[in-house]
Amino acid sequence: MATSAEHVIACTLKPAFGEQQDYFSIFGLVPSCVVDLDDLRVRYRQLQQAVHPDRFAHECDRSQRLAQQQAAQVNAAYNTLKSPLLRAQYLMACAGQERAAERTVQDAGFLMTQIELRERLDEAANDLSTLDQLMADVRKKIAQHQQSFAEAWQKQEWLAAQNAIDKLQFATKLSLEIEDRQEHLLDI
Amino acid sequence: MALLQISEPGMSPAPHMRKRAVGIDLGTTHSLVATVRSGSPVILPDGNGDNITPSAVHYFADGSVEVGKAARVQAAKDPLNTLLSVKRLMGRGLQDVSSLGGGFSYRFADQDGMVQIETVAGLVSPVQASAEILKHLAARASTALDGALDGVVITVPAYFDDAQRQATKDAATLAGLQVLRLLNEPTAAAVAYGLDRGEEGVIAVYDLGGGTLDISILRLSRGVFEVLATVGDTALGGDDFDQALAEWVLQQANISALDFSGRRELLDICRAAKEALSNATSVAIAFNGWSGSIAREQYDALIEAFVERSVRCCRKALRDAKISAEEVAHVVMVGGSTRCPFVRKKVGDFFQQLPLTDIDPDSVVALGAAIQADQLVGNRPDSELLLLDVIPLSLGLETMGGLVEKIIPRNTTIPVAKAQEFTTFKDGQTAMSIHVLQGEREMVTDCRSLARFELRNIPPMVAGAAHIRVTFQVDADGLLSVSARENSSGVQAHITVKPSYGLSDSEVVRILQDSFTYAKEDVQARKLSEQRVEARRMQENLLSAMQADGALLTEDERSGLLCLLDELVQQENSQDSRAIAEVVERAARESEFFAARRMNAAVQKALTGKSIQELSAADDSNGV
Repeated sequence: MATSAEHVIACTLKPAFGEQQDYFSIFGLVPSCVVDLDDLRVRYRQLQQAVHPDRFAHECDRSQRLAQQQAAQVNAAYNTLKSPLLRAQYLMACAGQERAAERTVQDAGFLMTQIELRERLDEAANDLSTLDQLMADVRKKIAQHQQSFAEAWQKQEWLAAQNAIDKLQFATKLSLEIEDRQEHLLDI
Repeated sequence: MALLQISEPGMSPAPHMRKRAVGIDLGTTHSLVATVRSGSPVILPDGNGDNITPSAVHYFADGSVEVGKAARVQAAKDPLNTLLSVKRLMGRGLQDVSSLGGGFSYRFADQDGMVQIETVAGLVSPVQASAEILKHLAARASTALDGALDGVVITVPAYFDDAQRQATKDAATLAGLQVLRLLNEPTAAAVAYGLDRGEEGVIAVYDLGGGTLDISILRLSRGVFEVLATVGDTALGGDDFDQALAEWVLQQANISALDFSGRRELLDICRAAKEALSNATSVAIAFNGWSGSIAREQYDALIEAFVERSVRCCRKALRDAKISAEEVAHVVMVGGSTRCPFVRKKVGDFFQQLPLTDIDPDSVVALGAAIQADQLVGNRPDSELLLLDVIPLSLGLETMGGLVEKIIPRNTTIPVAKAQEFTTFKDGQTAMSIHVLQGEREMVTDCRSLARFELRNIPPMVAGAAHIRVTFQVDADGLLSVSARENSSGVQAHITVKPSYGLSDSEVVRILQDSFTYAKEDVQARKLSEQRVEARRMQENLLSAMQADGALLTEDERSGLLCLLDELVQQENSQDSRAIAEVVERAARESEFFAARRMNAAVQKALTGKSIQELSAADDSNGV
């Protein structure tokens, strides 16, 4: 854990966190599908303690700008690594497996499940407890897709990994729609 | 390398090297200034020993001003030249004023897209009036600290958008102050409570001022305050309570019309009554020959809708932070309006605990700002205190159909930089208009327009070939700058825009004139635009489906769909949103069979693929 602070100093000696700097190495971690979120948060706070512009508020503009860039980079890395979907997409990009723009999911079973979940969302209409149940189910799906991604990524089966990401994306989007519906119903 | 030495412990500057830093709470109804003395934050009172300075500026014909209490007493006598509650006008245009509700009795004017107020001293902007208040407080602090100030922290409502923040910073620049940081008020309050010492956990801050409501949810750990979510309403506050009570008095007294000064006088009376009701169960009110009294229950009923609205914000803040009410360790109350027992009760009920009120709710923000200023100026290098704040409203760009594409979502921790690539949609297009917006809604017209600029000299290419990278940067003050660059062919164009309000920077003003086109809520226009996008989307979907799976169609079916496409193209630019909606709906209905057929085909294909795999697996195992 002491690596975080040292790590930052090493980085300030180099020009700055370049755009190419690996998000995992910023936190002193090796690329992995599984991230301990509590540990990540601790590392994140330690890093911000070192690089945040508030630490350089009384210094020259140049230091401030540098701090600003570094803190923004740390925030970007943190936001990416703490989200399962963004993390998975990032891992794929690191592996040189950028998503082709026009891919469609061809897994019939998955499409059926997806249609079924959407129908349930439509049917749930204005019933909060039905929405809650649906949300619980969708969260389970998200966990499953995360698991399949992790397995595929480990074995470097990129097609399977990309399929898992597609599914994860579908499920995540659905969960956001459920949240919107819930908030609408709660009038907040 | 100085960069690193600063964070080294044990380098506390000697006392004589201490720098002069203050925190300023620039409030809607009143303002305060505080500093840290012998390690503790203290309010710097005026000559009469008063901590609170009314946020009032009185203009004289010769251009001179008086600020604070002296100005406040002029409000009823000289209402047109005594500016109150200017904070509500910061970063706003003339069209916004009507949506801010009553309470303003000024003659408004528009200049360069910014609202201005006509006074005997000429046009005055809210930024200028705020600068007068800041100068007044800074002068007091300079006297008390025996020297020029090295830096100030100015607090703003967490829910302030970019225009409001920029206006506040401009006011400070006009006042000649070195701004160390714009600090969100709820965060400042959390700092003042000193909860960072030894505490871990989640804190909710409920800040109800004169004109604004802020709720922030913070996670606290080892001196780091991480804001998880912030929700607010820049048009909800104690002023609304005064208005509600005034309406009640007018009704009781059977008064139908009031002039400016009469209204101002009544509001002053109501404010006094409201304050008295925090301690008394009933108060007497006399106005214009009418006299009566109001009980606390009656008053609570008058303000209930406003308080309910604020509790809804609490609920939303918890949801955004993904925190349950039980997980909240402390609730901090900020702002004069939280003296109201009804407010305390409702907030306490919601969070299921007694809110913290031991620090004077009027002073708590300024005290927290002073602590932060002391640290930022370099007086306490050993401190672990660090504030990680968020942007309250999403930032985005206008895309086709008047829709907003979000680039940075709300509640993103700042500072932040994010880039997105866009492309041209016409062959040979050499310029691209970039319209920056802030807000949660999908339509451009429902969000706040922050800036508009053009990226020119894009080399002519076919549509879609250009790669225009637009970068949004939000600094630690929550202020945005945007740059754009075309880099597909090695040719680069670059422009950086920083929206600014109130300063006479001619280029900035020009941008403002272009951009400050506030659209009113226009349901019709939005519908039309949405329907047009819908019609276009339907065309694209149909076309690509026919291209991909045309083999699934009979000749008759194909010509039927082509007719539908024709109609969509014809209706797309109609002015009648209902006509477009009709043809879109019909197209959806009449092409449904095709969609179903395609889905079946896709399912079949996937299943077949699977069975072939299974087959070959079986073959393998059989050794074939």
